[in-house]
Amino acid sequence: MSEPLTSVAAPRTVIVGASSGVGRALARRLAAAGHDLVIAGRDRSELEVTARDIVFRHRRRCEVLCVDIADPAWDAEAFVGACLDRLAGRVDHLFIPAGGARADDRGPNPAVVAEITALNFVGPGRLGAGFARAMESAGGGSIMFFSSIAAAAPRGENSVYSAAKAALDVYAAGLRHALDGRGVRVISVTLGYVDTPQSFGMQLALPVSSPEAIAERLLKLSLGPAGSYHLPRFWWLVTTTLRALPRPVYRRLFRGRHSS
Amino acid sequence: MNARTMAQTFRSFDGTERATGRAARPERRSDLAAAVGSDASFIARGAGLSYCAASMGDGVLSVDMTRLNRVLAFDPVTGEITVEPGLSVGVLTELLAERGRWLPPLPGYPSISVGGCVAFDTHGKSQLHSGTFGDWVIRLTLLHPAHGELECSRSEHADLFGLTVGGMGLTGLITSVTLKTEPLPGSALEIEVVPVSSLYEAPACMSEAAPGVACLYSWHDLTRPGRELGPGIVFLERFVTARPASRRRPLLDVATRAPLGLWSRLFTTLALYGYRATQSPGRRRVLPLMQALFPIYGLEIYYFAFGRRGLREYQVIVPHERWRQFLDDLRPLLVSARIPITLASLKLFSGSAHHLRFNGTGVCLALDVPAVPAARALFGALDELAHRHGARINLSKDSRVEQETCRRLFPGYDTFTSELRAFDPARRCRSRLRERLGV
Repeated sequence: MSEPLTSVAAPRTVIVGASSGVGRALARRLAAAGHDLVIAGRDRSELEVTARDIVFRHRRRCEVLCVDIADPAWDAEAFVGACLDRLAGRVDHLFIPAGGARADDRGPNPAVVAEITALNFVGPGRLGAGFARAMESAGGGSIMFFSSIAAAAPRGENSVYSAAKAALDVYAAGLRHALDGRGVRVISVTLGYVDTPQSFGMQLALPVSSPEAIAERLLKLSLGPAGSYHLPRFWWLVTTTLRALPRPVYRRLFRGRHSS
Repeated sequence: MNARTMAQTFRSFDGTERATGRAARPERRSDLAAAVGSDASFIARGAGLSYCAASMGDGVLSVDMTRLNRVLAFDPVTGEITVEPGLSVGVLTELLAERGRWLPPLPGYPSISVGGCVAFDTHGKSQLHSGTFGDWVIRLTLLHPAHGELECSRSEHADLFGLTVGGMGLTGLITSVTLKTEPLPGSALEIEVVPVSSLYEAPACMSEAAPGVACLYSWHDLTRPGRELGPGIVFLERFVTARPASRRRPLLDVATRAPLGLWSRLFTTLALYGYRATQSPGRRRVLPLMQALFPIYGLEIYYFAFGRRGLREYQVIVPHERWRQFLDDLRPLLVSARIPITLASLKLFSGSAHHLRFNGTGVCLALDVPAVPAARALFGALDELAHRHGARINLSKDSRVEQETCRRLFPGYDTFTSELRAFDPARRCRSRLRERLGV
């Protein structure tokens, strides 16, 4: 394969959840923009294939770390240290597209609460906090959390997932406030429908974005100010409307419908 | 693993065949075994640009391979590259060009997948010099639920390798392909335009020019076959070092079709006359690599204009010694059919035929027509002509040939069928094309 180019000036970026979908597209787009990468996730062999592809296509450094952020025994501090080791002591950007809904998150099901929360809130929260400290002491950086339109539309299906994403939104807002003026920008992105394994095969009433188009927008957002954003933007109107709907109307509208 | 599948109605690229099955779209290599792990019949699907219903079947699971599109290995010394089957030949060409290499047997559209090129042993505009896609495959990995993952090459599982190259996807899911490449001789292609008076004259003109060119093909006007049989142009393409600006961008997806077909006889006559008028004899122009190697790229409107009724293409390799006689017999058929021939093109082939692959030595003629009822009758007559002259047709471009005709046209039909059935007796790999051909 091609030898990766190295540059002191290259942005250094960690993506957690890069095995497929938005995370994989983001890894490719960032490498194309000249970022050196650590890509992390649960599926080591898949990540290694993606890393080889990125090194070949873009001639950037792309290291793989295997991590399960939903595992209660996972050591977030050690993971931050491992990323810093692989990126020569500095991380400029952290993206956390890891997460996902589950088919058994349906109605009152106590068995799934801890696991879904760990994957979609606790794990990303620990990651964000850990990297925030490292970035603060290094003088700056950006942290991007990924929320979902499900956070604005809780219902019987995906109720734990919706709650975890809503919690992550609130946590991101708190972290953003805490780090205001310290060079670390905390960005929360609510993604609409994206053409990923999670949405494949679903009958969706609104347009679906390609992972590549979303990755392009995420790259731009990561360079901008801290804040909470919707991608594509029209989803702001959708989530705002959903939140404003009277409960009886909302219940009637979404009876039996899936959430994203 | 994402095991989600969805019901889907598929349509062949030529618009004349449909099938209703299910679709899955694995994103990870580990998803593949699970995707074909149930008892359902399956078939791999790439870009979905086969003219026939090769990647679909009623009740069949079409496994969309387009998300498995990564480069797995590259050896800068030998130029060997290993890729996932969903990688498009356009992206592959760009990646190789950045490293000063290329793969000559490129099909006409850049979004066609590497897996699809293997499945139909596709050819490009340089077949005479560089053979077909299969000639450039060093090895491939194949996944079949009854056999697991098998590595095949000319020395390992050689029969299976031979069955898979040009095997229409019927031996399982291709999970990786290792290709040889060769140094890219230039950064652009200079195209020289040489007028020819007819289809009779073109092969000799092409043979004479062949030694000095990288790509070689012709275009002919068959709107008045009674008066003149295909006055046209031979295109000679040579590599040059230049940086021409990119001139064409696709305005629409190549599979998009207009609500109504526009290719009437009058429209075809006017369009082809206009096209000929732009091609001055002796004219030379330099095109960017991607535009020259993929001539349809940016001209998707040609397919759009066929409308929802679709088109039919007939592609046939006629032995050199039968070419003139073949044309003598072809002419009255074209005159009596009174169908607009929207495209007539020649290439020269040199190779050996095997199984059901489109290969051999001779003149390759392609004809496009709107999918009107008379087209089927014309193509049926062309089948008889092909049989009479020992010609071979391209099954990837055909949506009508059935078992008996296929057996008559392909001496390797029975061998291919028996080997395929021996490998996959439960017929786990199925498609509408397989059902139609009875293999």
